[in-house]
Amino acid sequence: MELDQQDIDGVRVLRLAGDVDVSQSLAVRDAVGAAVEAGAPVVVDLGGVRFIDSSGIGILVTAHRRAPDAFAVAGAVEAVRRALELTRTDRILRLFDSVDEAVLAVKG
Amino acid sequence: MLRSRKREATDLWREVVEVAIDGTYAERLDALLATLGERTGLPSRHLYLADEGSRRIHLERSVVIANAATAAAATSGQEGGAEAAGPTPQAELPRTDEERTQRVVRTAAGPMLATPLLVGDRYIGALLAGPVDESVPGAVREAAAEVAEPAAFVVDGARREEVQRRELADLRTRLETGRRLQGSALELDAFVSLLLDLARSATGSDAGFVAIVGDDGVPRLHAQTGLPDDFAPGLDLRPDTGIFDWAPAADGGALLLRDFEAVVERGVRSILAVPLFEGDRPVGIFALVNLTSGGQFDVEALDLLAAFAEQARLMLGNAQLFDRFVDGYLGTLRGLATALDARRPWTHGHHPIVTRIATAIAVELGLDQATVDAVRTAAEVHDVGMAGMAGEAWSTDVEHTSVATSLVEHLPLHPAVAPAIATHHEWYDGWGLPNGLRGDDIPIGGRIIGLAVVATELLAGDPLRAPYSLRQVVDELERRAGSQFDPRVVTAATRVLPGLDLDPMTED
Repeated sequence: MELDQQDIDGVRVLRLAGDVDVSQSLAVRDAVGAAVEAGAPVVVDLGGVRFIDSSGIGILVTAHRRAPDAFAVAGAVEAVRRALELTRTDRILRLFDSVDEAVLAVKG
Repeated sequence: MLRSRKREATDLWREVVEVAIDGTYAERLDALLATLGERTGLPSRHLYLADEGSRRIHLERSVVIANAATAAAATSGQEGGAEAAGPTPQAELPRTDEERTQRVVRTAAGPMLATPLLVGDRYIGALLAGPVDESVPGAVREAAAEVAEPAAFVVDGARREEVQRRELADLRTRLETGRRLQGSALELDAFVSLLLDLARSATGSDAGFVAIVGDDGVPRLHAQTGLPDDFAPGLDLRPDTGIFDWAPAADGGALLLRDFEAVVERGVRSILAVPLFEGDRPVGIFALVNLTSGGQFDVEALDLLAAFAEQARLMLGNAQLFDRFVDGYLGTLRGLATALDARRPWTHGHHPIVTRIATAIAVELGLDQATVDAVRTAAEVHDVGMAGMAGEAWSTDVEHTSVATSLVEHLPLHPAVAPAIATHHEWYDGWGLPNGLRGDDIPIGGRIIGLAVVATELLAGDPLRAPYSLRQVVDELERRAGSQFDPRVVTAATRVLPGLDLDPMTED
């Protein structure tokens, strides 16, 4: 799993790649948690993620609950979208096809 | 010169087809990417495939060589390409108007040379190789294009075979599900275990479990497969404190993993827990677990998981409906028993008193709770067969047990219920009805209810005989120990009878 971040228009964009599962969840939780706590709007770019499990999904929903208006998820590939649908979290999260759309939506 | 180029191209076709004709789907793709690497000299190679009706191409296979020194220990790509010794490109790339032209594309792993894979006019995907600069040497472009031509045919064929293989496996799973389900209809736990086993094998997961939400709102494990022995003990599934958090229905009614530490402690690498909802009400959790590295689910596996979870949800809903039907049906039989009791003054309250006595004896004998409940249910309706009898002929005594049994034996009740009703007129010494069973051949429920019936009748009296006192009843039961009654049941009865409320007017 890889994780890098950059700021676009005042929005912190976290890019995850690889598998987001239990073995990676503590690192992901720390990174997403720190970004949300920092106060700026946050977009998590899942473009490089090919698999996400319940632990990864739990982190995204927790982040959304903490900052419902300032958190979005972008670029989920089909397998990731399907996992979000199965856990019914696609109804909770703000999902966007591209990072640009997500940044536009959260930067207020 | 031209002839030599032609021969080279033919050789390359032969080489590509030969290396990629044998082995598994993954091995064949790896062989192609290896050839691409040899020909172009580029260490990072990726195969993207187009999906029908999609505006994206997805990463099917990757090979990345970190550097020349580690080339021998090349990290062979996995589907989707994660365990690579270098930057990982996106899992999907958008399709563009220029896709049929060889060009340099920007990826998360840097710029790469994308060479289209064309079968005739049909675009099926692209081979990406890198890293490259904007100006890729002509020889590299040419080498990639030469590999792409035969590769397109090989990939196309291999992919068709793979799709067919998956469809066949899927079909086999569905057939197997249908065939095996016939034998386990309405046995809920057996059914969910079966679904779980099938889901685990169809998705290639290591383990899984199904939890069903009880009347108290707490999910409990009803089936598990492949889990380590220390997984279930201490697993907290309570909605307020457990490893899962149920998002409220207003939030979409989702299921979230809350306690990472609890699953990490249990050696879980990845877990996908699907909530089962009946409308807005959570009814269960269908979870698949991977304990080893590399375990993850692709779209096909997720589709299968969705299908199995849906089957489990439907089954839970059906089982709950059926439980309600059984409750309603038993309620009707209890009403019939009450109506029969009311026909004569001396039988008022007969069924409830027999039930109190029989249940107390079952508890006194130390039977397990499920059997105690079965004895209670059988006692509540043991004489409803009388409703089908005309008059007072001797055959009534013989046949009413069979009639009553036929009214409950088709229900999915505890297996002790119907035999208890069927045998409550048998005698311990073999002189009873209808089959002359003796001793322990008479099911314990029948032995208990038979005694409870006689005790109730003696206490109530009838037009020809005054009611017995409790002392007289106990004496009579003891006199019949070993002949009509099982002595152990008599002993238990003499212990519990003095403490029971035997007033027919008492409401249960």
